Amino acid sequence: MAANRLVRASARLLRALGKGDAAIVGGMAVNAYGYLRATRDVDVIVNLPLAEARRRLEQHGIATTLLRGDVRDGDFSCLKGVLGRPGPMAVPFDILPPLVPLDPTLFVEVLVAGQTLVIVDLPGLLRLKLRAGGVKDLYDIAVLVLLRPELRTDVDSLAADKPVELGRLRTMMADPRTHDAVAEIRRQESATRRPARPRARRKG
Amino acid sequence: MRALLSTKTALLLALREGPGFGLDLIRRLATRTGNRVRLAQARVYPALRALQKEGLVTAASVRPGGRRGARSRTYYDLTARGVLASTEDGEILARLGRIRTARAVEGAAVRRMADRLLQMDELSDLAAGLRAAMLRTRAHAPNHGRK
Repeated sequence: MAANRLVRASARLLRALGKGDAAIVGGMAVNAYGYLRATRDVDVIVNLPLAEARRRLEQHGIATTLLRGDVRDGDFSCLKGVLGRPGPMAVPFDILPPLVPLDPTLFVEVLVAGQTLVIVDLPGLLRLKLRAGGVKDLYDIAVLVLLRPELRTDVDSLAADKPVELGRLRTMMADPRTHDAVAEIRRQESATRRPARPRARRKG
Repeated sequence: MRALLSTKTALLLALREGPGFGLDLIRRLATRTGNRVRLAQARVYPALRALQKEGLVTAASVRPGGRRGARSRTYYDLTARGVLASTEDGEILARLGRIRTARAVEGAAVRRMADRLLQMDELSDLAAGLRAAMLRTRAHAPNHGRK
């Protein structure tokens, strides 16, 4: 099995799309900001029209399919594709249009296993998740807000026009199961940050 | 093409911060510009309706805090097309007004992000392996496909 499968796939996509024009969103970005969970695919948002993104990917030998959304339903078009050999270890990816305002100067560049990844800024990620509004998206926000309480006011103002989503989000944030999950994430994070050292025994 | 620094452009740029209602957007613009841009309500609401007609913003009527009897407010937010239009307007203004500098990113927080991404990759591989094994087991089960 190839190591760092998702990291390498996302780095390849970002290289093809061009620096400053694309950033990782979705599950990978959620992980980067502290909520460790498994993810199946790579989501990349681009600051350019999808047709141009498709052209750039094709130039790098990456084939995509354009999935047209119905704009009347508030849906949006996106590009879909798969990297790697077909099978369970292939990496499906989605290229999303700029659904929320993005400021490339706020993107975070991270060097992971020799690959440069560009991650969307945290407020941008929250806004995208609120726009998607699915149960998993709202749960991601709930965990991130409990991990970083300073985000609560950001979320309240970003969701001002979405009372249903805000209500669900508050319910999730009040749920003891979410608190348990956050406590476990914190415990794991501190364990990885401070590896336990065996104490040297004194000879006596 | 919209006029540079028109009411509509100003509103689109104000909405980049997040959804807002008319008065909220007027205040937002005043605060961000140190009271240099103060839009009149009489111009804001027709402009917002025009932007809605152009498909650049959406409008949702919301009662503040879900309170009974409270007057509902119309919140506006950018559509995908509105995001593109506001990005373009913002870029034009930024190019005219200032030179942007890239944000230097360094430090322990970024290193932690890198560590988490590596952990996520391992965890996701494990999950994918488990999923594949489960599918294989199901496919080989004697009553597979039967009810």
